[in-house]
Amino acid sequence: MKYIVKKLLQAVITIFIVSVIIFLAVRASGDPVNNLIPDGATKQQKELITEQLGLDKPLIVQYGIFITDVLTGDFGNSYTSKRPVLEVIFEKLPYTLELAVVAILIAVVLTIPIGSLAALKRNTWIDRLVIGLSSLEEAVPIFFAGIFVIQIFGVKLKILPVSGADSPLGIIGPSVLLGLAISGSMTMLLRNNMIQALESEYVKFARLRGIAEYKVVLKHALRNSFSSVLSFSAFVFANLIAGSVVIESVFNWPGIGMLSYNSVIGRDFPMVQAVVLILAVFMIVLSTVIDIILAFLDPRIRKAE
Amino acid sequence: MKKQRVLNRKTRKPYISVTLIGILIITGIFGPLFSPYDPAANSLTEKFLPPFFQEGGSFKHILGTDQLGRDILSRLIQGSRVSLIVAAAAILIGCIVGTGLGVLAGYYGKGTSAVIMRLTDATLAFPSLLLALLLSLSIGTGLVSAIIAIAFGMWAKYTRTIRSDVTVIAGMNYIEQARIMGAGSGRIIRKHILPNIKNQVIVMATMDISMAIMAESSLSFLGLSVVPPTASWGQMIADGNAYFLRAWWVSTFPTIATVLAVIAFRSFGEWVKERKGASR
Repeated sequence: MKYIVKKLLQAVITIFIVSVIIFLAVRASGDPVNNLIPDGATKQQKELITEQLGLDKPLIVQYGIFITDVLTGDFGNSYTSKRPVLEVIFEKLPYTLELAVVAILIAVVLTIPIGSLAALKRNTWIDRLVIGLSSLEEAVPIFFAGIFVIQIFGVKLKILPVSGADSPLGIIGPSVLLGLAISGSMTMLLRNNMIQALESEYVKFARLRGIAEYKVVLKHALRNSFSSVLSFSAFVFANLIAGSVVIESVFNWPGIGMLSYNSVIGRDFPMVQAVVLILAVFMIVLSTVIDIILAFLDPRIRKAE
Repeated sequence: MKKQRVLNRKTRKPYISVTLIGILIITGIFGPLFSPYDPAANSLTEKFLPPFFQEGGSFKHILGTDQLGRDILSRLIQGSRVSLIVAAAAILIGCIVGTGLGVLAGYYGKGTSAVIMRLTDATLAFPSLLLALLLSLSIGTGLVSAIIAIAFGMWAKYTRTIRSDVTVIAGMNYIEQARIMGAGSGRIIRKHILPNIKNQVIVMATMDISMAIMAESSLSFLGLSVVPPTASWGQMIADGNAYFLRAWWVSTFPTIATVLAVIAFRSFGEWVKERKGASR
């Protein structure tokens, strides 16, 4: 109990630090007023807009206003679209979630047979091929793979839409590429765990009991190695939500990645603050929950802290 | 030990990787000496020349030219320098800051550790690419902002790992004895703690090189690294984007360069990790 309180308190402090960093980083990134005023606006007009946005007040006052608003659930309005920031974010979020979920499913579906096969055929040419392909999957920049898919399947063969999410087929390109990129490290993780499992005592014992080999592999080795793939997926999922900037901008996918990229470029302060803050808080909450669960399962961690 | 052997991907010496890394470093340092052309020289009459093995190509431009008629090989060579500078500088900064804070947190514990670890948590919670975007807007796009952005995404990992290592080391008897012998904190850290975490830091840093190269490539693809006309691989890929069907070589050669560099540094890192026997 004491541990949980401590962890929660730490999470709150971390979130506070994150909010300060975001606030300062956003303000250091430039003056948004220049992006908002029409060309040839007078100095008075500029000052008026600065005042309306509250950007003329001292930084500490601005931060105070920012944090009280956030705590009451008000993230302000976007400078560019004038709509409430949260509304826009919740509109974009499903696209990113969809992409992340489909990508992880693809990765898992690829990983289970390929990773198991590599582990079972360890040190053969199959294993080496899998290892080679996995490191290739991780090394090819996803933005080049994206261009390749768009140009070949979209522009030339016209099987897939060139970009965007207007057609239901639009998700295929980005999700398959993300899935492949993830499956590289996931396959290696499963392979290594499975090799360990196949040499473990309980697998030897299962074989001694005369259980059919396929059952030993599926029920004992695979099931026990799979838990690590699952926890890896959770970690990847969190990163996909935050790290989808590149793939979304290549495929023009209207999710959080695109939104954050555009709002940083357009210096849309409220939008940037909200997106980064929400993503960071999401990560902090996630890791706090994982810490608490781990400590619950293993009392040694609680003592060690 | 036997089990360890089985799990490791490679136990052979990484001759190929080391050769590739050697070539990369040589082109990075001495590139301008044997670069066939000025990497920024346009020649609109010579645009989209294919590489030598394709019809219409010649040995004049071995890997062809891009949309402005610039020599791809010369630009790749310049790009290798950018990749190496950014990766080396980012890792150096991230590693020194991260290790330093990790040692302080692990050695002094209590309040110092609490402050440093909250900062670490906060940094790790940031979506690093978004942060890089923000940074490049505040300090302007360019080599320096790419380096700072990548280093910022890197240091916290070192702090976390090194802190827990140092916490263990600082609790050992010989540290206590050194203190009784009258050694000050500075001496203990220098003589007893740093030598013990050296391998861990070296391993983490080598494993990070491929990551940093990839990160630089992503940043320059988004237009956040070096400013044109200086070439970088990611930016070359972005350039070739629109012309892929017409001139596949413009974006494919920088991709091949990136892939080779990433794989070479990664397998070199794996090898170092195995030799130095670090835990993480």
